[in-house]
Amino acid sequence: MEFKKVNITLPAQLFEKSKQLVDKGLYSSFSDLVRSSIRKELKEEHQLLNKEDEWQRKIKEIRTDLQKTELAKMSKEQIIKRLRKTRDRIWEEKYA
Amino acid sequence: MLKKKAVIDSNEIILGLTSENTSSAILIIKLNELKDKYEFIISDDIYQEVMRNIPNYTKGKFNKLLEFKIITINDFLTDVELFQKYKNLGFKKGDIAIASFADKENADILISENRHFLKWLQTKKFKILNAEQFLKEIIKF
Repeated sequence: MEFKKVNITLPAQLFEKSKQLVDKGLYSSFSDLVRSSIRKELKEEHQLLNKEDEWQRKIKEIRTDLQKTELAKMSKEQIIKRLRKTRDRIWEEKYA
Repeated sequence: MLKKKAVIDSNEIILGLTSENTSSAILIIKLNELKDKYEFIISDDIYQEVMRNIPNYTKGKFNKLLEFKIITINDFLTDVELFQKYKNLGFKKGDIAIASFADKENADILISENRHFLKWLQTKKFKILNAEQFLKEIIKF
């Protein structure tokens, strides 16, 4: 594995707190702490991006399905009118 | 940060799922990005309206979408007083249940393309915005 050496600038307080974690033995060195933190961050970002992709993917799947239906051929006003009829029917069934 | 609560009407869901470049379509896609700022809710009536208007082979996919918990279905028990309140305000029969649901949930916004709703902008309890107005509002803040 190839390594790159980098210099980082941290607020003194953050560095002191990080050092405490190393001193307590949670990490073998300060470099180890930085590596672990970056890996964790990348993993979370990956999961977050995947979730966003999944949401959009599901919506696209439904859109593809609905393109084959009469809904896709209807105007906005026609869809609203159709939903109004359904709404009124539910009202009659449940509350009237 | 306290999340704002927004009721999404069935017309926004159906229009958002049948088109790609409309405000409703952009809204549906953006819900995932907005979930940290807004709690998006629907009533069982709104859920039923969507389910009754999509084909059977899409119903499972719509339920899968709800499993993301970005839009949640909240229970609503009939509230005669609220129904009367919105009836007195002149809401049409089916809309009474949706407005009462938004009221009972202490929603901040009801997002709907329904012109009957949009003319009742004086409702003090919650704002009524269409998808375009809602998107403009979130850009503003």
